[in-house]
Amino acid sequence: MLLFYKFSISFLEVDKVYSVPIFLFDKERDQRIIALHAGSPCKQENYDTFNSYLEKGAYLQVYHEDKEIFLEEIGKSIEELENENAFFFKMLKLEEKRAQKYERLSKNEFLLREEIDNASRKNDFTQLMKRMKSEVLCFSLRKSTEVSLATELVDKLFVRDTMAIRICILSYFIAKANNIKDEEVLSDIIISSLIKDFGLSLLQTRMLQNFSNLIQEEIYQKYPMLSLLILSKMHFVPNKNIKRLVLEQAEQVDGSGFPRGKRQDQLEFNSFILNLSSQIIYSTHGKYTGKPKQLKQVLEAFAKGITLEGTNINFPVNLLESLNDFLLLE
Amino acid sequence: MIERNIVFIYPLSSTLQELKQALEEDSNFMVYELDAVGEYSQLIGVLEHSMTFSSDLKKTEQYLEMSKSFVKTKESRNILTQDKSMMHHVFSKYQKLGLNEILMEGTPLKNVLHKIDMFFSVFEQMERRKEEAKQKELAEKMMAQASFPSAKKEKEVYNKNEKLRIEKMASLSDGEIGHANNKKGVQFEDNTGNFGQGKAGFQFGSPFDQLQRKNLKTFDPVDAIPKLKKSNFNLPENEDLNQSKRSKFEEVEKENKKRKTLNLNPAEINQKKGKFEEVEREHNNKRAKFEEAHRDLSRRRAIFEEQEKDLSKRKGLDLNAQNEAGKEGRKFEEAQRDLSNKRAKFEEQQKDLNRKKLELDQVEAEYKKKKKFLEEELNLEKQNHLIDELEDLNKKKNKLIEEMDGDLQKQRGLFEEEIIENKKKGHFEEVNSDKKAKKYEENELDLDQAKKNLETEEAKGQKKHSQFDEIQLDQRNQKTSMIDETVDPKKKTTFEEGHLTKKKKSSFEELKNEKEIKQNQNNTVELKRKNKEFDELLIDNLLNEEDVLSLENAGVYKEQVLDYAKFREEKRKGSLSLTEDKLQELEKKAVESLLEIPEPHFYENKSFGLEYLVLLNDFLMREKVEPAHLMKFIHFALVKEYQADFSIYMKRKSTGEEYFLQDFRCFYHGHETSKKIYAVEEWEALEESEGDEWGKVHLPTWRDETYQLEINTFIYPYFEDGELLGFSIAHFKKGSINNHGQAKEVEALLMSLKGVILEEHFFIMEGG
Repeated sequence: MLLFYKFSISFLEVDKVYSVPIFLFDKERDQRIIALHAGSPCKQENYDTFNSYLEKGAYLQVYHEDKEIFLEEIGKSIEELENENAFFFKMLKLEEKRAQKYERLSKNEFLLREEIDNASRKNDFTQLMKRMKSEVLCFSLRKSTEVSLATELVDKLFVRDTMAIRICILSYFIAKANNIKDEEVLSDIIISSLIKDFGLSLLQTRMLQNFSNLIQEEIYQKYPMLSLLILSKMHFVPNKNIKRLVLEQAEQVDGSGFPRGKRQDQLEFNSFILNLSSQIIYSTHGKYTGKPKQLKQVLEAFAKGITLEGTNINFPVNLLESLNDFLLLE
Repeated sequence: MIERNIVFIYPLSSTLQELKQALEEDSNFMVYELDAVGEYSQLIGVLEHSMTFSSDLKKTEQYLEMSKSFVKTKESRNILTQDKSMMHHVFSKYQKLGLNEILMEGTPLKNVLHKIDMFFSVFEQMERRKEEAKQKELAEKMMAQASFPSAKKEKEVYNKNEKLRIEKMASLSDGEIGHANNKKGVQFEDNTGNFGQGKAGFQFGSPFDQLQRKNLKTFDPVDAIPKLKKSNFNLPENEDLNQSKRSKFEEVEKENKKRKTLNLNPAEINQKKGKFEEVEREHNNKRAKFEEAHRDLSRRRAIFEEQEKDLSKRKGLDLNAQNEAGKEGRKFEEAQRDLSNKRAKFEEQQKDLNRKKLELDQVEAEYKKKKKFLEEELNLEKQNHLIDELEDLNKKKNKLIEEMDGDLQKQRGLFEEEIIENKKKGHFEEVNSDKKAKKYEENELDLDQAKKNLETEEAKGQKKHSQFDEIQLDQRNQKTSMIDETVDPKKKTTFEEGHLTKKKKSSFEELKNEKEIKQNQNNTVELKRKNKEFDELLIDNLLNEEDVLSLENAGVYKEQVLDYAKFREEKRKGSLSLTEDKLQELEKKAVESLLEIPEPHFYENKSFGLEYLVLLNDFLMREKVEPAHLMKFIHFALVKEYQADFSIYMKRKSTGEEYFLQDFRCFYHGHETSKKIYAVEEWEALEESEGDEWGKVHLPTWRDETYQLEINTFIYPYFEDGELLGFSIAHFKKGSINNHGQAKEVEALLMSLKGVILEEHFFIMEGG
């Protein structure tokens, strides 16, 4: 429910007395002030001051209990006032719609081990994708740009079972298995897992054909930076966490990773999640060996600390142990 | 063996309890259990070697601080047991106080016992070494003594010689010396006064008496009686001694000396004697030290015993018994066990006490609550009581008023009776009636006066006013009802009937009385009217009471008892009209409170075109990457989002000619396939007219950065190592791009084709 209705200055008339208080909300300071007290006239100087504030991003408001009286006094309809607050109502509607569609699904019983087992046997991540989508689309749209972006990307992209989506799904579930439940952190992981390989598009396409030899290419070792370069060209400004996750996606515990060769104590734990999920999915797709493997097998190998061809198991122990949550107990 | 003292400071963790039990069973250890930290400083002072265990961090800190000088020594070790490991800086803080170690809770008992053993064994070894050293020293001394037998012998010989000398001297006193004295009796006569008493009575004033002579065998004359030393026998120089006797004496002396010199070398003897004396002195010194230490120890023990006695007194335990038992070995242990049992009981009792104390606290808290509640109730009761008192007072007032009214009625009745009697008697006189009427009026005035008095009383007792007003209202109601009764038509008829019967008797009297009655009736009607007015006023006031209540609820006007008199007064003055201002103030406050309500924020669900790059990435990760697919996909994205067309031109191998179509070749012709913006013919014309310019653009460029052109052009050149590889050209209809954000998205999409361009470039370079 909207407590304060935003309206443009054109709703006000000079020298008119309004019987309800009119507020001015300063967006930058996140502060509300009384622009006009009830019963005081809106003088020309007031009008000009409001205009100058509105140019700086502030807006006029009327309290929802006073809106009927105010509309009567200004001779406008409720629709006109609601149009002034179209964005709020649009977002509110979207939030309600998403909640209506996905809330029940997100709370349904979900047996992760069984679903991973099914996904592994059928080589189909659809159920996992649906589950993740239902959970993510219930995230609040009032938290941050990143959370809203994550929900939007999931909404738009989680229709096809592609490799990038699989990495994102696995990252999300590994993060949850490691007790990461904060919507903002999960959103950062989701966004980072989707955008982390943007830099590959700047490499000669032929290089990507031979994935196993890619690591030896000097330019490849800079691709996390190239990903950030592309992001810098976009209107979206990623937060520090996302930048860090993208940049540290290929670093290793022992400092043998790239691009900076950082060690575990210098690295963000969540960046290991991206790295691990990428390696698992690449292994299942046979990117390193040319032979696809079952997800379950790869998960087992990583959980047991067994190095598969092309992979690197230099991960924090607790992260590898958390993979046991994905495996059916025998 | 040293005393292995283990001190436990309560409370004990499970590990320490186990350890305590184990140590108590071992007779090698002396276990001390302390509850209060204050006792520790008393105990630690008398313990030579000790290990202190505690599990409470606060108590540990306290005892370490209190006994800094004792606990920081090598002889004591302080160990704290804890569940969790301590931060390094915190541990170092305690370490400074004297804490030696932190044991983790659950450390095996074996390990702890080993630690204890290690600690004490060091001292034991040291002690053993000391003992050995002592023994060695003693042995050396013995050896030293054994190696100088001559010194002893010398002494013996010396003593023997001295003995002989003295014996000789003694024998001489009986014969020669006595004779000599006899000869020079004149000299002695002056001194002794015994001269002339005869031979038999003569006694030589020799320093040796009979008793000394008897004890001579056991007597070491030189050591015991320094007087008898040779040096003390120097006779006065002026004494005239018989030279012959002296010569004999000297001869004996010479003989003695000869004998001495025959057996021993005096220098050697003196040397050895000096050594012996030195050793003896040392030994004496050490003994003195030892005795001092022993005395100190016993003093300390005494102090400790005293303290223990105090402790036992305090704890109600007989530690004396323990001390006594301590002397008797087993009994002491038993007593100690008893003590520990008692201590455990005491602890249990203490725990119970603590528990009870907690319960007591809870009860106390409840009691306080209830007390508060009761006090409140009491206050209420008091108030009620006051109200009751007021009611009683009011009742009394009522009675008074009733009585007064009754008197008035009586008077009125009397007056009426008199009128009736007068009517009967026919002696009605106008003058008399006038007088009585005056009296009636006077009574009325008195009544009013009484009421006024009551009102003044009312002004004095502020709290009682309201009730008094109510009572007044009741009283007035009663009065009006009473008057109503008098004015009641039925009663009136009976009254008139009576009059009619009397009318028959005298018509003249009737006329006179009618006047009177009418006057009376007029008076009562007037009174009724006034009372009605008063009631209306009161009803008005009651209505205003509602207003007051509403104000009270709003928090503007609060009072416990409504004072109607005051309220009326305020209303009369017009002070109640201020409430409107107050209401305005309230409204203002309510509006100000709205300022605190947070503004809801929604973050727009924008994807910033990232989804296209994700999908492009997916193309790149496929087994086989087709550049055409990538270009088509970007074209698709541009068409979908911005209804734009785009083409890619690759630079040919340099021809040297500055003609566009000879320098560049179209690698992807999106404009031709889409045909949305330009028809094929139009595009060819555009290529020819603008192509040269396109090839010269070195930075991503929008033809119109305000996005107002009907068809806006965006060129994105691709460079590698400073060399232009080609460019993308895209065209947008007006309105499809409205801001820089969208423009940036387009730029990123075209940029992502760099890999494709590179691939094509190298393909061309390789001669493909």
